Formats: sequence, structure tokens, C-alpha cells
Amino acid sequence: MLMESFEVENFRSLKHLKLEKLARVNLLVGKNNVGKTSVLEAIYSLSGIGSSNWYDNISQGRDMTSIDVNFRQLFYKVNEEGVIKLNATYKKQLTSPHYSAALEVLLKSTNHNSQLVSEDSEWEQNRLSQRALIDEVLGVSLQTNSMSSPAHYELAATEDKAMRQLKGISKGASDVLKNIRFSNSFRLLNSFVSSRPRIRNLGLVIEQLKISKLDSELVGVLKQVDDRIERIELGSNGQIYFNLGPNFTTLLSANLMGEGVQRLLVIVSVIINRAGGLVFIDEIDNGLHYSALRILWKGILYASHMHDVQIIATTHSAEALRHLTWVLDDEENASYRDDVAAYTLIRADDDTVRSYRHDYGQLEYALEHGIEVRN
Amino acid sequence: MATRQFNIFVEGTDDHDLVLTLVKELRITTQHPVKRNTREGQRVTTYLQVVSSNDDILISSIGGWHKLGSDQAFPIQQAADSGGKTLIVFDADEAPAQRAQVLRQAVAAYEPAPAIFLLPGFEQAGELEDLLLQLVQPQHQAVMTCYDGYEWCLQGLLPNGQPYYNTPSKKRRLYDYVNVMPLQGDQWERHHRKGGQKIFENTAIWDLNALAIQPLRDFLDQYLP
Repeated sequence: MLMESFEVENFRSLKHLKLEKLARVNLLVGKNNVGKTSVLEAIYSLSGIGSSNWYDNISQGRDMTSIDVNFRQLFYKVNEEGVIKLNATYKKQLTSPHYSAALEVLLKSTNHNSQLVSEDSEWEQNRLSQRALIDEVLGVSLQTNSMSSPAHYELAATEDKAMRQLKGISKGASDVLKNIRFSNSFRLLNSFVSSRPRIRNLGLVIEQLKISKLDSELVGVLKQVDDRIERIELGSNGQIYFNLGPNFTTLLSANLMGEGVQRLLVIVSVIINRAGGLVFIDEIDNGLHYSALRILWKGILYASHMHDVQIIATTHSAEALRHLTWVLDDEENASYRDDVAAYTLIRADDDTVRSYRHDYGQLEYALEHGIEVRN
Repeated sequence: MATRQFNIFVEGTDDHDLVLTLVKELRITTQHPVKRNTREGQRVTTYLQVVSSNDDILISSIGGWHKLGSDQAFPIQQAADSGGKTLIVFDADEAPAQRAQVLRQAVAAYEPAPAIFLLPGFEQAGELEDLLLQLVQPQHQAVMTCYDGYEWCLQGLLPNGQPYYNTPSKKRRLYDYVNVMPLQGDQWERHHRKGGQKIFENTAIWDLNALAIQPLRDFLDQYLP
């Protein structure tokens, strides 16, 4: 089920923004600091706030570490009096009714005596006696159209010294989350690909693809960039290697391949591994030579369609959008034209962010007329 | 206050060039510092910035009245959202009232009240060329008389006793009018090498203060920042 519209208030740099008529592949374009990454983080939060590594995932893309954790930074203008509001509707399908979800988040002071629990039972056992480390908790209220009344729970952060991750859901949250029927009606599966993805963290994803026998699909897409790639292998340390055929006497570490291949490897493996889910890609063209952009788009259009993944990506380069248009102009990709929407984001006088939607037919004119991005 | 956007949509390159010349006469403008101007076939785009207000003016030829609609949604919505305005300057053709209705309908989803001006003006049927023929500098009106002679001559040629040759169009007449003018430098290049541009800013060729163009001048003056 694809997200159809999304509305956010008081989150990060966004006072208010609404995206309507979302497609399977959505590209947000706009100048620096218009709030593109905040939009990704907001949509990610709607579906992922119940995950123990939610905060880490949205912080990584901004190069923030666990030391930087400060829930106030989630709020527009760091205003702790504000209430974050996230709303989404989902496309009605034959087998599922129209679906909507609304999340409200506010900042509360910590009850230092409250015990922390988690949906992860092992972690829960280890951490039952641990207290929240910082003086803030988030009060979360979640309402879906399948619930008769909103579910309320609290989120707090604590430090896992071994992993240097912050995680934790306060008492009561696990029960609430278990009772919400996410699995068939809500795109809980999601992945956040930051503008500087770390290839060393990709081993587990590749391993999962190999177990599911989906690694050949990944190779198929990568071959379009480098037709020497025959197989992807995993080292015992999670290192990723490419088998480039008989002309190479050893496997080649993925770290030694070009940035274009690395970027495509990260994005496509995440898409294939997130079947039925949402994938967020920040600065999609980062590190890519323009010649690889068409290959990237073809790979994304094909993989997202095949694996029923909805993509929400950002760019501040007109080139990324132009190459997407050129890929869609090609008759062999005509079937993907209705799968794509681009949104120009512009900050207005009142600091709200306006979104202007362009479908395939409007992209060429829009590119010539006022999409102000870095060329 | 943030920058407002004003759009002027026209049909073809001559419409674009005429409106651009008028806007530059009516307002002090500079080339837009960021947005790019393009000229490709019938699609010409010029962005100007008004010096006094920093507002943006987009002049865009879209290739024909039937192409007005969702393609232009983005700049039309931007104009509406920023407190600007969308102006439409198209040919009236045979039925001005019906054409205005069609154009209004084409953008209604994005701008319920566009400002529409139909050429040649005065609520008359016709097209840009009908207006331009009235803007020929009086001192060169004799060129048109020569052209009349050329047309009569063609009409008199009756091979096998039947009319055979086409009468040159108004477009052709206007092209040839500029073509016989002694242009120099960049103006020569633009006319002879870059798509037969009509060089409307050349006051020796065109009288842009003629009575016939006053309604268009007034229209632009009324809505532009």
C-alpha cells in the first residue's frame, strides 16, 4: 500500500508542509536548507518511531552522534512547547481499505524512576533496571483509522555502551505498538539511505539478500553500470567483494570500486531488501558522475516496481531530475511514467514550505521554468 | 516581502519578443541573476527582475494556445502563491469571447482569475500579425505598397488560365519587411541567422507607440509590478 499524502507540522526545520498525490518514486528538489532532509526524517518517523534505532537512523544522516541526542532538536525552531504533527493517508487498494495514520509528539520531563522496556526481549532483560539517561521523554500519540482511540506512550533514550546507540521505549509502549496492526496496512518497513552511506554497514543487507536468493537481482542491476560484475561475495568480516570474472585473479573489495557502483549497490540492495516498504534516499545523486545517473534511475525504477517499494528521495541538483526525465522519455521505460512525481519545495514568507508537484508530462517545462536548484 | 512572480504566457517567438520589448519599455528591469533564459524553436523563455521591487517576470512562449494548461502549472501556482499574477497574451483568432473562455478554462485549476489579452486588441478577431502590420513605421509604409504590387503580380500569373501561386501570408509579409531593412551587427545576426527575429526594439522599423498597440501597453502596465 503506497503512501498517498503526507503532512507535517513543527518538525525540524518544517513549520508546515504537505505533499499530495505521492507516486511510487518521489523526488524532492529544492535549494539548500529548504527542509528536504527534514521531510524524509518526518516520514521516516511516522512509520519508524516505534523502532529502537529510530533516533539513531535520523541522526546519522546529519553526522550527529549519540552524544548529540537532544529531543528538542526534533521540534521546529527548537521550541519545546510545540507539538509535532505527522499525518499520512495511503492509497486504497482492492484488498485493503483506505488507510490513514496520525502521530503527535510533544516533549515531557523525565520521570527518573520509570523503568525502560523494549520490544526487543533480550535487550529488555538486560536493561530492565536502567533509567533514562537524559532529562527528556517524548510523549507520543498515534491514531490510525483502524483504532477507536489514539494510543499514547512515551519514548526515552538511554545509552547502550556496547553499541554506542541510544534506544529505549518507556513502559507501556511495547503493548501499545503490538496492538497496532501495522503489518498489513502500514508501511512499517523502511530504510534511510543518508547522503553519505557507509558501505561497511551493508554486509548484513547483502547477507540477507543472499539468504533470500535475491542477490542475483542486485547483480543484474549493477551489471548495467559495470558489466564485468558476475557475483557479489561476502567476507567473514562483512566485507563486500565483487567477482569480476576470469580476468581478475582475486575478488575486488567493493571499497575499491567507483563511487557510482558503491552508491548504486547501497540503494538497490536496500530496495530489494525492503520489499513492500518505504526507502528514503537523501541527496540521491551525491557522489555520482552524471553518466551514472541514468543507470541509477533505471535501476531504482525497475527495482522499486519489482519489489513494491515506495521511494522518497531528495536532490538539490537539476541534473538528477533532468536525467530522470530522459530515462522516462525512453519508450522502453514508458510504463514507469505514472510511477514518478517530483516536488519542488519552496520556503514561503511565513516560513511554511510549499510543495509544487510535477508529473512526468510537466517535468520538461518545469525544468526550464523556475526549478531553482544548483545546476 | 519576498519576491513575487509574474508570468506572461504567449504563443510564439514573435509574441514573446514583442512583449519583452514592451515590458522593457514599461519597467526598469535587469536580467535575472539566477534563472536561465532559453530560445529553442517556438519555445522561448526570458526571466527579468524588476529593479524597483526585485519581483520576477517570466515571459514564456509555449508554442500555441492548445498547449496552455498543466505544463505551466508550476509557474502559475508560484505566481498565485507569491502574490503575483499570470497574464495570458494570445491570438483572438476568429472568436475572441470563445478563445478567452477556453484559455481561462485551461488554467482554472491553478489560477481562477488570469489576466487575458487577445491580439490584435480592441476585442477584435485576428492575430498578432494584424497588430504588427499596424506598427510598421509610417516612413517605411511604402515597403508594404511594394509588397502589394508583388502580391497583385502573383495573382495575375495564371498558368493554363488558372490561379496557381499562393498569396504570401501576413507572416511572410512581415518577415520580408524586416528582411529588407539595413540591419547591423547583433540585430542582423538575430534576424538573418537566429530564426528571423523581428527586432522590435528598433524604432526605425517599428512604431511601438502607435494607437493600435496602446491596449496591449495598457494591459501590461496595469498588471506588472
